[in-house]
Amino acid sequence: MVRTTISFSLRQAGLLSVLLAFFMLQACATHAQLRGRMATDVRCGAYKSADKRLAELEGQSSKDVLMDVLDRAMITHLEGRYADSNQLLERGKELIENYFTKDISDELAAIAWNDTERAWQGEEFERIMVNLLAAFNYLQMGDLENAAVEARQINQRLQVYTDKLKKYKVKTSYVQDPFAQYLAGMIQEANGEYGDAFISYRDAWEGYEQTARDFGIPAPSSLREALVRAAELSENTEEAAKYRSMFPEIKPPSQKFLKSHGRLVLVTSSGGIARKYSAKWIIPDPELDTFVIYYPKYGKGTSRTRRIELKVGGKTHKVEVAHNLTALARKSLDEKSGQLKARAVAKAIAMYAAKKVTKTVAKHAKSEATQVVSILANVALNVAELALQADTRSWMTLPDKLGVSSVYLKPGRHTAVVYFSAEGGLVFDRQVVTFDIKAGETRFLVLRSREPHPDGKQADPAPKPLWNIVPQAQQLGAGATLSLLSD
Amino acid sequence: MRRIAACIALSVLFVIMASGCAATREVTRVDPGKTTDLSGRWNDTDSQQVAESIVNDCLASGWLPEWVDAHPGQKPVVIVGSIANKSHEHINVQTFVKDIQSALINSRKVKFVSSRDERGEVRDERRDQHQGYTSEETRAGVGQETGAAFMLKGSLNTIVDELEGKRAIWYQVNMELHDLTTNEISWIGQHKIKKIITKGSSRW
Repeated sequence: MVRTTISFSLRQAGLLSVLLAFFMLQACATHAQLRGRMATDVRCGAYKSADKRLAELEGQSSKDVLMDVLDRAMITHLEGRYADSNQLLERGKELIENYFTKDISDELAAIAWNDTERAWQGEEFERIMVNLLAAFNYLQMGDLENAAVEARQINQRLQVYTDKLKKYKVKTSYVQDPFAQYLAGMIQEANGEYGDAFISYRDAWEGYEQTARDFGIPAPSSLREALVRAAELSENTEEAAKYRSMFPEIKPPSQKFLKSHGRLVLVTSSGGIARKYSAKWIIPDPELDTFVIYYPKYGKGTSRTRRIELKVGGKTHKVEVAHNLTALARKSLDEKSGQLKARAVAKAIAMYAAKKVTKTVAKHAKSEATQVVSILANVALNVAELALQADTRSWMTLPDKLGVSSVYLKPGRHTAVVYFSAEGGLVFDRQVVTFDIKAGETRFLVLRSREPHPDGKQADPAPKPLWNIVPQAQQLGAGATLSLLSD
Repeated sequence: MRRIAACIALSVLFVIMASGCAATREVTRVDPGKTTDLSGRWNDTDSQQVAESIVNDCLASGWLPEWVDAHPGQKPVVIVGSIANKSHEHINVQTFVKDIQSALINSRKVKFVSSRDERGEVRDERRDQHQGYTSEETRAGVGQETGAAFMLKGSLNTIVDELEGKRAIWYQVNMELHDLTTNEISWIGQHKIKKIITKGSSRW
């Protein structure tokens, strides 16, 4: 009777393990799919829907708390609740600080089993994005002083990061975050901190020299003028002369012009950052056992935005790409792929060896009890191997690219219209903001594109800056359908 | 029977242990003057200590006896202006301003007038008293506000140095007393605080 049971188990062991693994993977896949759908909602401006989907995900895994908090902060930002979003981002910063202290039990579990056993801590560029998003919130609230605090935190974080890279002689393409430095400089300049602004612009310029090489993203043209302008405003004549000779084509406005005009800085976010997936490499052996290596890989970016234009003060200005988050994420992962693959290979070898041992023991077992235990162990190992997916977690609600445009305006009331266009010049989103600007004042406007939703969902209204006391002249709920560029 | 008893005992033990692990909240009242450094960031103790030190330094300086000599029997009127947050932290400078106001008033060496924001509310109330609802005897008079002779303003700065879980923060509060008639800077003072914050590299 016992023999019959055992022979049944041997035959069905494979099927049982596949079934168990299928149910386990199904749960993981549903979780990942839901987060993916939430990210699509964010990309397409369906913020209410994204809010509901995130509520389903929140609290499901204690290892994903930071990811939940940052996704919630992004959605809250896009709903125009900037102060609430900043509260969440402060919570995110606290979690990042706490993760400095490694949880040894989590680390051991990650080494022995799966990287997802470790709390998600974000990549360095994602941690800088926490400060950038907080700065966006303060800028939308018209709070330059606190936006400048975020700018200082960005500089500090990057300083610590580069010191660490130097200490351990790590070579990486993410040495500086030129966009973050550029925005920090613009905030500092608007706050009257010209010396600090110049240093941030200079660091940004040096950073863009590298991004031009690595990602094909040169410095926005407005940064050249900003460098000369900040050097002059901070009365750094030597540096001003240096950058004037470097950029002879730049004619920075006079002090008189700056005092008699306001400045609008538009920062745009577009599309959705590429998502990671679990790639696998299967090596079969002659006994039909498999040797599987799982590693994370980035898929394609999902942005439909090809061109962004700002129409204000009777002129149309091109919004230049200033940051390509997808390219940066891919490059960061590629640079770590050797380390990740080595870990995956070690796990696969351990798994393969354990399976071989349990099979051999089952085959040659003298007692029935040993045989049963070996079969069960083999089933468990098969399940474990199938569930051994790569860590594909990331801050999915981040945009694909960031853009910037800086425009001088006469004091008074203006209406800014921002056009987001797809391939062929098709405008899929148009956002309108009417505002007052004073002489010598800098205003920041932060907008995100709302791309057409694959399920045809209607986009929610774009968030309004709170410093804008003028009622919005026009607010389109575009995004669901494409229309021809006619304005 | 023994096995059943053992199972029950184990279950009870498990329930007791689980309830012991459950999140509990404990509230302890402490003296507001007690230093409580939790995160290492700027806190109420820093705010109070700096405000008292700055005000003591300011009032012990030469400008005060000089002014009193020139204006016998009077006390200088001071207003607190803006205090810019140029630090790495989101600090509510209003609580720091309140601590400075409190230290100035408690010194009894100077008179103190309400700030620009507070004045608006006071003026609204006075205007309301003259709408005809308030008795003439109790109405506050118009045009009798006390003008400040000096403005105390400044900034809160930080320098941060950090490596491998160890962070040193220098807080430096710079304050200046401006003579509102002459634009002269009558006094400059500063107060520094240094903190070292160490984070553990691992835990179980």
